[in-house]
Amino acid sequence: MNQYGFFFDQSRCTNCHACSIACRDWNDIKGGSPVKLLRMMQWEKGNFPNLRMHVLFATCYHCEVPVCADACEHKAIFKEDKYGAVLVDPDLCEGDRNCWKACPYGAPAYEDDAPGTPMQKCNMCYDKLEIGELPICVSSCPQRALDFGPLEEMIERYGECRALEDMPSGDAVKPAAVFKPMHEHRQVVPYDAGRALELLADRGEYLDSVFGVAEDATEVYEGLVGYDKLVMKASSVAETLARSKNEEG
Amino acid sequence: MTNKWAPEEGQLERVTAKIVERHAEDEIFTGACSKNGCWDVCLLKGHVGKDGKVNAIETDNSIHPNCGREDEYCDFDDFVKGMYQKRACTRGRLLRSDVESPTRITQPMRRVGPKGPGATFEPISWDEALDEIARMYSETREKYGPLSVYCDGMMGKSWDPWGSYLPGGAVACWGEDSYESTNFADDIMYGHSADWIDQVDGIAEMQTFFDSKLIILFGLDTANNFTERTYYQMLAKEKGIPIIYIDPRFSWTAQAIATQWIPIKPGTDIALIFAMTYVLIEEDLVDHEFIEKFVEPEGYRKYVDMIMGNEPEWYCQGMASMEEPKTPEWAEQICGIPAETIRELARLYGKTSQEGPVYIRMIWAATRAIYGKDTARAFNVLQTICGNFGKKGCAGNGTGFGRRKGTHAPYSLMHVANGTGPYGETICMEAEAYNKAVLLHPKMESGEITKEEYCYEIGCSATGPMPNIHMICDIPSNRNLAAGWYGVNERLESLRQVDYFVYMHWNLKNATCCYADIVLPQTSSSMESPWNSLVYNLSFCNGINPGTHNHFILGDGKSKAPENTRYTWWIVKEIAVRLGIADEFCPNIKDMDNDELEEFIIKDASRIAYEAWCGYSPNAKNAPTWEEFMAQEERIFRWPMEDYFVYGMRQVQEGVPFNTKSGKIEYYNEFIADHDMRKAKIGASQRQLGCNDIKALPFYRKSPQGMQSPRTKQFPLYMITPHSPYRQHTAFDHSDWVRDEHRASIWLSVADAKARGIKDGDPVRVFSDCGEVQVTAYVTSRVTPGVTVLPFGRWYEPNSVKTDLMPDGIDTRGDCNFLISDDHYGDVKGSILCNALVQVEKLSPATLIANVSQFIQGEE
Repeated sequence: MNQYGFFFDQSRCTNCHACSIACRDWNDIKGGSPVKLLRMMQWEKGNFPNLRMHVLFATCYHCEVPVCADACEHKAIFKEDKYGAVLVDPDLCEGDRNCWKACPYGAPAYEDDAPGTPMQKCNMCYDKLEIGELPICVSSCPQRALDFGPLEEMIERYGECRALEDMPSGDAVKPAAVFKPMHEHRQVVPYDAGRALELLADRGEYLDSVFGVAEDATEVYEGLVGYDKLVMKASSVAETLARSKNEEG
Repeated sequence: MTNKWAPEEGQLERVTAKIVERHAEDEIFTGACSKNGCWDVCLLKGHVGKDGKVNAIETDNSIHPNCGREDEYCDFDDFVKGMYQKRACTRGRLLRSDVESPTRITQPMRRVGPKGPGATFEPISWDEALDEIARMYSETREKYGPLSVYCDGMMGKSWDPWGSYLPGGAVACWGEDSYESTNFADDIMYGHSADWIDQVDGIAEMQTFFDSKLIILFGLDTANNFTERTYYQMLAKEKGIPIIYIDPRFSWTAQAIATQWIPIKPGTDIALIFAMTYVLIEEDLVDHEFIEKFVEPEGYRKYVDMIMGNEPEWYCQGMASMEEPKTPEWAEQICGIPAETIRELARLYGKTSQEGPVYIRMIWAATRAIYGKDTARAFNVLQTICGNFGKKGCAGNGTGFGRRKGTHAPYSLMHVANGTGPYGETICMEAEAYNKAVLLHPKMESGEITKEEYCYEIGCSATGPMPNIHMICDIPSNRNLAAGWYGVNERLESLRQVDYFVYMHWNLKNATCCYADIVLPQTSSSMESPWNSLVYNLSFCNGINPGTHNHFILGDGKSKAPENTRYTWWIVKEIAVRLGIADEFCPNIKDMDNDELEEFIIKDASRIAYEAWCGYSPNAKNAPTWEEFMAQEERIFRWPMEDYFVYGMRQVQEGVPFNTKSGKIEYYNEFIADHDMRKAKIGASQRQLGCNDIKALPFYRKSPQGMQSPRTKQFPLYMITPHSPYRQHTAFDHSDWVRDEHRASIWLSVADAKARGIKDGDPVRVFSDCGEVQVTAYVTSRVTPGVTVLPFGRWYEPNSVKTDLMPDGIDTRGDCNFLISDDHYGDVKGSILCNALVQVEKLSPATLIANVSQFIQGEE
């Protein structure tokens, strides 16, 4: 059996969503549908002005050990031999969501929260592979942050990182995906954040300051900021959709 | 290894048949993404399904085919030669949702009943619409004179296709919509030529990033705006070139491209620039050789005096701030960057410049503000004082626009219509001032305001002819006037007041339609026609400022347009016929119908242009024949570049004088010093500033719209309005797909949210002295305290609550331009304002009122 897989370079991704729009376009998923076979997810870490934005290419990783298929009682999920794609058979799926429960990544997608709603998922653009082309997401990335090919070749080219920071470890399922983590920022010129906060608070002699003490700008409590953590398995389709958005529009 | 999860017999075939079926019979055509914005002009491959509609969009696969991470599979030299995929970004991929939109305009319509949201329209025939437009155009000019019809325009030009063929000529405008401040600075310091398209070499082709030793970006949010340059910057980053990014917002450029992000108080870049210049002079890190050769010496001396706080004998009137030395300690209080950081940044910049070129660039947004022209001028000094100009590895001019000499694509427009007619154009207003021109003209006539005040407000010389606008005809330009520019309420009021407003667009959700007398439905560029939407060419798409200048695309738009939409050039031509000027304006096409014209453009005009280009262009060496070119599946031609171009090379390396009075770069502008700028005209596009609030040297003043303005007592948050990766300016905001990828929010810093009891997801009202929007709060550490972010380009979606601030209903989408007033506080005109002081308040969900339907019901 062959196994193809994805590569995602977190240090190149600008979270532009060209890939996820290309995916919806190719698969003809109408606007307003919560079904996203590919979700670009962001989460924020750190405090002003020292912070990082994380981003993840979240789709079905067509695992070497597809626990979703194991969980399905109707044999509706199988793994084909040519590319190792994990596919769902819509004729057999009864929408009981055992696959969703098993998948650590929240990859099975649903139109609705109602029981019995059929599962939909990434098919690796099987149609494109059959004509020698790449999955649409990979060929769409303006920053060439994605790649795709035989998993062994991907590992050879890009290393063996199978989970980014904050992702489920994947040890049990062996995702057919390798990752490159974001690059580290560094101070090319010295920057005293404490002094900067004093200056940024100041409006000059006659006006009230922008904020009081530094902690006003740096301390964050639970629920204050958006996208404060990575949640790959949301509790509803609405939340799934919300967590796949960003704030760039 | 056996496959434990293998399909049952026949299951694979059954499942994959359904997958393969969807695109199996698609027909593929070439398109070019050419909506105004990045100008990268990427290749689109449209799939047309059995129903004739767009079924999917793919992008370039004509070079390095099927290479995902392209640079992994080819020589780096390919990038140096500009041989890479013209891979479309999010915006290009949205064209399908544009043409298939359920709110697509499919029929010419005439408004019945009052203007404004909820306006109703009746369908009319094309003949009826065009007859009426031509009649109103003629009647308006007869009644109010030739300067009474505004069709938009800029850079000393008109976008009125017909006026210059009629006695009295057409209204032309000075000023540039996107970057007038920078354009002004470049013009008076480097000297633009009058014909900016063919002769201004604004660009630094993007191979320049690879040759720089350091990249410093002032607010240049590359990731959001310039997809190809992002890729090249990414490759430069991976080569180890440090990238410093200065911006109030931790954008994706800060995360993915920058080595270091330095937050700054918005609108204070000039203080940082002055202080860096101070350190460079104080520590003798300037490039004396460059200055001696290329900078006008008297102006340089005066500039140094101003920066160092020397006591000059030659004070410019009103420049009191000159007395103070522009030290990092002076600047830190203004811009919020510690003096030590400013000093070290200047040293790094100066010292690196001695070793090799530094790419230092300020994006236009930093100058789209009150006093923005001074910021742009100061930046040009910072760039040139260390000799980072006209050399490989450097940035181009601030405008960063224009193409190098020699046409880089076949030019077909001249085979379709002639340019300017015998009666010419009259520059009599600033490009965006149509609202003031309409609203204030009656006040001037009644004596409520003086003629001088009127001239200042519209950017007209006190001695020149004035416009008297009674008709607005937005046909070739089709702008979203309810979203695209600051002062929306005032602009909508002017659309109400004007006698006749003709509009052409493709989507009913665009609220501008509600104010039009006639709405014309446009065929899509790229998807449904060979028209590429760039006004500068017609079918061959090369853009003005793509990342590298070595390709063009010829699209043929095979998706089936709705039956009653028309091609822009057909509409323009039909009006010319009705005005009786077709024989002079467009003799070749005057009798063609819509389909014939499309065919003519593809088959005749394009062929003539292509073959001519092959004859004269040195880049055509390996060009295919016309027949071969047309037979390509992906109709793109690109050639390997032997070298790349940076603006200023001709001056710096070949000794061509700058197009200024001294022939050198002018830090000090003698013309401004010597003239009454209320009356004088300045620069290549004959700007008529109408006021004297500009000095021979740039200088620092506190902005009335700045973070240290007393106005912050009432409106404490400085709103910035960056572009979105989901829109090209305002285009695509209606798309459902777009709305599934982002939340229409306003960004609030942690400090500002806490102070207002707001948490992420709360509904808020955002208001200024001229407008109000109601949106969701995005609370984040990614924005500097005191700054808020409302991305530009959302379309007006009013609710039913009409207030003094929002007479047509409060906006529920977050159209930032409602909050920015058209008040320049006495500053010279022309800066396109994109920021404002605002206040944000939490709303209780119970008080939220949904937007009303403003869709116009055209009965088919």
